[in-house]
Amino acid sequence: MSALLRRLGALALTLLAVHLSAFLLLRAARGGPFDEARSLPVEVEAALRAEYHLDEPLYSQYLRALGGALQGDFGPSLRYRDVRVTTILADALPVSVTLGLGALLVALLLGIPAGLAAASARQRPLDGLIRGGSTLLLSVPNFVIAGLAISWFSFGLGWFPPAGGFGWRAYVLPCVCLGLPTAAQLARLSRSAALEVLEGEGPRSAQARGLSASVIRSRHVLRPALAPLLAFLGPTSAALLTGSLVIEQVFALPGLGAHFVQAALNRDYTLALGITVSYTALLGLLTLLADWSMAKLDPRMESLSG
Amino acid sequence: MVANGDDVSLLHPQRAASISDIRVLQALHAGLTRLDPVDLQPQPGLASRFSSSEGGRQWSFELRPKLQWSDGHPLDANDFVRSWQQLADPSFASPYQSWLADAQVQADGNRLTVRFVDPRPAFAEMCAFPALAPVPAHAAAEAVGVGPFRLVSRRVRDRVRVERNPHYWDVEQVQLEAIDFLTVESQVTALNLFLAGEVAYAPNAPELAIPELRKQLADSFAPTPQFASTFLRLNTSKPPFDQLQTRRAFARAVDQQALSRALGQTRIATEYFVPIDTPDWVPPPLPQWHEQRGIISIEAPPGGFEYLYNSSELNRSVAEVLQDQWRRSLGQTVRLSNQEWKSFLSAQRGLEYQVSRSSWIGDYLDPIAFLEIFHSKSGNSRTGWVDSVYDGLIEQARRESDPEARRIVLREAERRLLDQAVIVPLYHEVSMELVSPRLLGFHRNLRGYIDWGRLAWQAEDQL
Repeated sequence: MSALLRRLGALALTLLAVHLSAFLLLRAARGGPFDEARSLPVEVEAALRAEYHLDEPLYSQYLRALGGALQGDFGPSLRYRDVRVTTILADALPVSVTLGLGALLVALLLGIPAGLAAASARQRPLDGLIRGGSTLLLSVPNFVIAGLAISWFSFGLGWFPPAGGFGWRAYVLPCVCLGLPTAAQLARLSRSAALEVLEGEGPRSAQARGLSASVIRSRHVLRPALAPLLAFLGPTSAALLTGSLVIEQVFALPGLGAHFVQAALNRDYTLALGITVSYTALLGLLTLLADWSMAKLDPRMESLSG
Repeated sequence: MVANGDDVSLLHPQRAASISDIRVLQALHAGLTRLDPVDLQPQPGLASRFSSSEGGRQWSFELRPKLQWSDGHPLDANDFVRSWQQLADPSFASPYQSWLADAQVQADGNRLTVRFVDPRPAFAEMCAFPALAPVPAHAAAEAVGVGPFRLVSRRVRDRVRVERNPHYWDVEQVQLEAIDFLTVESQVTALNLFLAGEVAYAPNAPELAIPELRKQLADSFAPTPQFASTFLRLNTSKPPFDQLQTRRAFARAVDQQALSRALGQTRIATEYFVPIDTPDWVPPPLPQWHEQRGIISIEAPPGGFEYLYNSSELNRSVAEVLQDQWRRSLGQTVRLSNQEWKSFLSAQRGLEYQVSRSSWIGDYLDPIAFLEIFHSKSGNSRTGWVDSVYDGLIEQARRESDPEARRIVLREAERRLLDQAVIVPLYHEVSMELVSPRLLGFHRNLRGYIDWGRLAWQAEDQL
């Protein structure tokens, strides 16, 4: 229990540090939220800056931002001035989570079986095929994968719409395109993890004890091989669940991904800060969850549960 | 369903300024006038009649009887007075504050009278712009308007949904029942949606697809001149472009036709700043030094020449072509430097550049919408240029009420601007709209003005 509290405390400190450095970095960038191609009259711009407290000294702006963040309110967005940052995050999160869960499912269902199959077929054609395929998927950027998928499945076969969040069919292509590179990574990781276990003591002694092949596979190969996968899956899930700029843009899905980049480019201080802090919190919590599951799997790890 | 480019940022008609905001606001709000979608001439809108007197210094409007907001509340001339006073108040922080800064507005029953210090010949056209639409006092301007449609829902980065407004003055004419304005930032994605029949309109076709679209999709794609120019700003406040000779040498070395060919003839090459398609406009003669031949020797500043542009594929192509042209005719190597948009704007405003890529879109069809930005008091000059002759011409044009005399003054102003080589015009922009042939009543025009209330959707079986 105390270990868990210690980790949560560290996460809280990390969040404070991220909040402060994101605040400072955003203010260090040139230009401001109200700069547009057309300059505003001087008095109009002054009125706008005053309305959003940008005319106050930096420390008082920071305290205001911090106070809000502690209460879970990041203030109004500076680009979408009539919308609050929390509303934007709440609207976009379900889209990104749907996309992320779909992609995670694709990655797990394709990646782990492929990796295990490659491990058990080591040095045979199937292994080479899976290893080659995963290298290809990892090296091709996902907008290329997305482009090919759209031209084959939307315009060629007509199975799925090319973009837009209209119903579940619209999510199939984006989930697959987002999940494939992760599936490739999982395949490689699970292959090498499985090989390490297969070549170790466990399965051989189990075989010597006369246990059946399926028991050996699930208890003596799969379980120990899961540890490195879980360590990888924590941060990867956080990344998948918080959206992908490229995939969301290609498929015109209103998720969080684009906000990461656009909020900073628009100098939307409040939205950029809100999204950075929320992402850090999610990343921290999911990593914690992954560590906790690993501890459950392998009692030798530092216990987070007990 | 239509693709709307960048996401809508503000839905307040007096505060929004981006093109994608305005496209939606043109559905939700309406002004005293509306424009003919073909030639953009103002026609009666919320006002059944309008007229100007005193050479455009005074405008009167007669409101239609029984006007209502989209929630059924009544609306009268006093709502205009209140809305326009709010717009003119600097503390309200509207980007259009200057439009009404010197206006005196009065309501008398159904009549509305506006007096300006200087003539406003384009005011009837400006009244069709969402910024001059009335905004309600009893509700949020984001939610309630007087347009052909009313707001149903909005989700940031997703879509704005609108439905027919039963209280619109011309509701019998409104044929579309609802419109979804989708945020589609990627032009390729918008094209995909258009080709799949998911959207009936997309504002911009991707640059690479233009040749194919021209060949294969001629019924949906017809590039049309826009009231917009792309040009170079030269920083006249410090070396090397504080020297007139250096500015002229750089301007002369630019070959707009060759640039346009290199860009695949997708833009209209020009040596003018005011778009050549402006109604009732004849551009001035080009300065004599344009014709001079021979190599001028100019000296590079200690750090060399530098060209600044905001990062984009198209801007990079333009920069590379210009770099090559300057190298060939001046023997000078110009370093290319790109910055993301906000840093670029900040550098341009702070005069921390030598020569930079720029563009301008006119808000109303009047040459002064372009020329006045180089008045030394304008916040949009960003060249450091202070020229009493030019300032005098712009001020004279602002005061002049006779249209022909005003045109002559403005033509002289453009001649002066080009002669002093403060800017180097490159091309006029072209609209790359994709419009489904089933969207009836759509007309491409100079301003990209769309009256959603006068469009209709043709059912598939009628094709």
